[in-house]
Amino acid sequence: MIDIFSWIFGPLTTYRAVLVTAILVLALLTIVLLVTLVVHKTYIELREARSARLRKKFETVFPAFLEGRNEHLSTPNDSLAIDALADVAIDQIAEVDHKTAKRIRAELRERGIVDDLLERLNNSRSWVKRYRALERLGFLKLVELRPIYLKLLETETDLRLVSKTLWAASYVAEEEDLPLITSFLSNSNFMSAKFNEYLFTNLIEEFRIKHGDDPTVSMLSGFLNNETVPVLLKRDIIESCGKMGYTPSVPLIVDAFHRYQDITEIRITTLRALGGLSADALAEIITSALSDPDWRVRVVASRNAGLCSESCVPHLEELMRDKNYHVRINAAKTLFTMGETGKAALRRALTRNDRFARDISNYVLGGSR
Amino acid sequence: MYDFVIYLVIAVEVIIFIYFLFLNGSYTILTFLSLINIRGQLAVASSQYIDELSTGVFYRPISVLVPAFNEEKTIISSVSNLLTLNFPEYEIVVINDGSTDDTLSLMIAKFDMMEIERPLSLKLHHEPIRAQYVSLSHPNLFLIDKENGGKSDALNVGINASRYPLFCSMDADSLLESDALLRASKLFVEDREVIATGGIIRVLNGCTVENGKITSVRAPKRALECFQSVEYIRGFLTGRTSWNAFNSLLIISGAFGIFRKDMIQAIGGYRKSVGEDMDLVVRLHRHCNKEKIRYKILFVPDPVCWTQVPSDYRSLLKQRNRWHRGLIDSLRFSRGMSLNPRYGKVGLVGVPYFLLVEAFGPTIEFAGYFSFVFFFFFGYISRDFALLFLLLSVLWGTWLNIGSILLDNLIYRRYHSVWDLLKLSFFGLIEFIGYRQLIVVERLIATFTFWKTEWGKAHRQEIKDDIPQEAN
Repeated sequence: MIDIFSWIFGPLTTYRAVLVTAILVLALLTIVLLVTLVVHKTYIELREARSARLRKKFETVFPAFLEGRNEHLSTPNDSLAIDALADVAIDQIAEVDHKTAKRIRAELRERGIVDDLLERLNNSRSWVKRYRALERLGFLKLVELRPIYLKLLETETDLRLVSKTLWAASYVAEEEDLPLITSFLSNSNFMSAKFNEYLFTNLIEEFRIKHGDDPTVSMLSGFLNNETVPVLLKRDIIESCGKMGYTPSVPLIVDAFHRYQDITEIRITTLRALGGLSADALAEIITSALSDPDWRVRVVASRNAGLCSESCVPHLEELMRDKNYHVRINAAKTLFTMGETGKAALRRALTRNDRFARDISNYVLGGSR
Repeated sequence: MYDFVIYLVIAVEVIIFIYFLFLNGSYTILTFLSLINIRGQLAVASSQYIDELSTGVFYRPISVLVPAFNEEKTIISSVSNLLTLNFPEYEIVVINDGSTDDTLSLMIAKFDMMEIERPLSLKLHHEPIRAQYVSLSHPNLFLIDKENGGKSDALNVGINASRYPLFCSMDADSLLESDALLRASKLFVEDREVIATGGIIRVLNGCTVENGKITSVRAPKRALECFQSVEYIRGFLTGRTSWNAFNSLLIISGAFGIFRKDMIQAIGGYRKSVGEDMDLVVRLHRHCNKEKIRYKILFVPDPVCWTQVPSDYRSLLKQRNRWHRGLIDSLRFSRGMSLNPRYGKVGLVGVPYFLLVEAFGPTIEFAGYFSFVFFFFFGYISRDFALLFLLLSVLWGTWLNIGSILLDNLIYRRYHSVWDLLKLSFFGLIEFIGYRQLIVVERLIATFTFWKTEWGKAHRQEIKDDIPQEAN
């Protein structure tokens, strides 16, 4: 009989030595893994417990310190304590008024928290540490870091850090920074429309707080009139205005609706934004939108038509026979919110030959007949 | 003739040996790839950022679809858990797929459901609907009662009934962590190319549930459940995370996945298959590559879904048999993708790897066990070699298991007790003595009965909800 592995690998002693070595290495590695598992688990649980204790302590001490009830706030001296204080400060900044937020930032600067985070951002070799430092700095909304963010945008190549820097910069950016920011967002493969909206909302909100409404509207107008800015980015900024309920932007949005009438996305976005901002402005454009050739525009228009006068009722009644299901159902739902005139239209639809209109009216009216 | 037999024996052994090296080697590489990938993914999902997403307007609303067939033991806990999720705008659509037990009546009674007539979109085909209900106590909870048509059919109904642009498919015996939806959907907000994401599935057996929420995470008590815990950790952390790097993830578990509705409608929804989850993802890859759509299908390691695993051998084997049949069915349906450059990395790497390692794996492994024993008894392999090789394979497997448990502990730290980790490590060690062979045999049976379409439903255990007693 032949021993297969002797045949392949040579004499028994050769492959035996190889196998024994491999087994010893694997056994050693397995023991190392097991020891690491136990040591790491023990260490990490202790670390987590300390982190939770520190956070709890700062959650009590820091607000008391800010209110003057407690004179002493110890300066954190290791990264765990620094992170705990920074996290508590971030939570506080989101809840307090601007004056107190300013004081919190000053305290963090004074205690070296900002310097420590900047040190990590600039010098750490791990992108994860840099990312976390950048995120904390971003949440702190430190105006003096604007040049650092702008420089980072020019030099950084890691896309994860670039997107985070853009986000951090959106809290502190000025009008002249817009071209740089939009140069990233203009790339249609960069992040997403939602991300753009997020950035624009931060930008508008912070700009409004710093400079007031008129300069903000002027900044928005410059952006929307800029021919070099891609139309889809303009759509994102309109969406942001609508989402944050920024009423001073209404004339700009109406203007955009007329100017970019041939672009469906803009028509949809302006209707949606105006639906949350101004019924009067919406009334100006709703009739044409209700008969738009694109069904998506008709859906948004029929959803928002309830804000306008009863003159929309015949149009909505007509849309209950639309070829698109989403238009029909939204038209019916809106009619239901338009008082007796709307309900009367739904009741009329109950007797129609059109089965879809009948079913939808039946569904929407439910028990209210 | 004798020479021919010898050469044949040698050829078989060499193939099996190469396969063994390839399998364990690739798992080792995947483990290291996962470590790099997971750490980064967790860093970009801090709790502060997640909170900001949930309080802002930047989320995308989600419809959670829960197909249920004879789930009377778990459905109430599962839906109660879904109602407590931390997500700004979502609806739950439970689809009763012609259950013959009390699933429907329990749902109606527990959640004050009232029958409604709601027109549904007719984009995907499905079995007839009997009735639709809405909950009076939870307006975002809907129940659809339909004729039995299988899980894929129920999900198609759910997609038609859903209102939102994203949907999450879930199993009725699973529980989500409260911010799982936020974490899983975050990528849809940040990256326009993401069309599907799947979260990690962990074993619920052994954990304590209070008011539909998991309050204490412990390793399961039974050996069979512990084996599965180790398998789940290894499978999800090393098996799936690493495929993100190649954009070749072929499975998003049916227990928890989020999808862009328009893409699923574009491929005609779920196909009737016993492995509908994998089938859907493979078809998504196929569609996007064919239509030259830029896309990403990602495994996201931080949203956690807890699921009940079978606690008896019969149910476990039924489940594994079905999974394997589903895998073969799905790869067979999309067979044109394999080694086809038109489908990019997924065609050149993902599908061939799955074919070799997952679909044919049990056959090769079984052939390995069989020939090993056969050759040993007939003297073709020396006793020395047999023992050393056996030890090597068990140790390598153990190393991979403990590596996965360590990876899990580095990142998630869901198990708080060191003893739980040691217990799982122990089962990771003995998995290769009996348990693995049992599963291989069942998968081998499934390989040769792949045409069967029966579901083989596992026996369900009630999710014990330990509601704390109020102090008198």
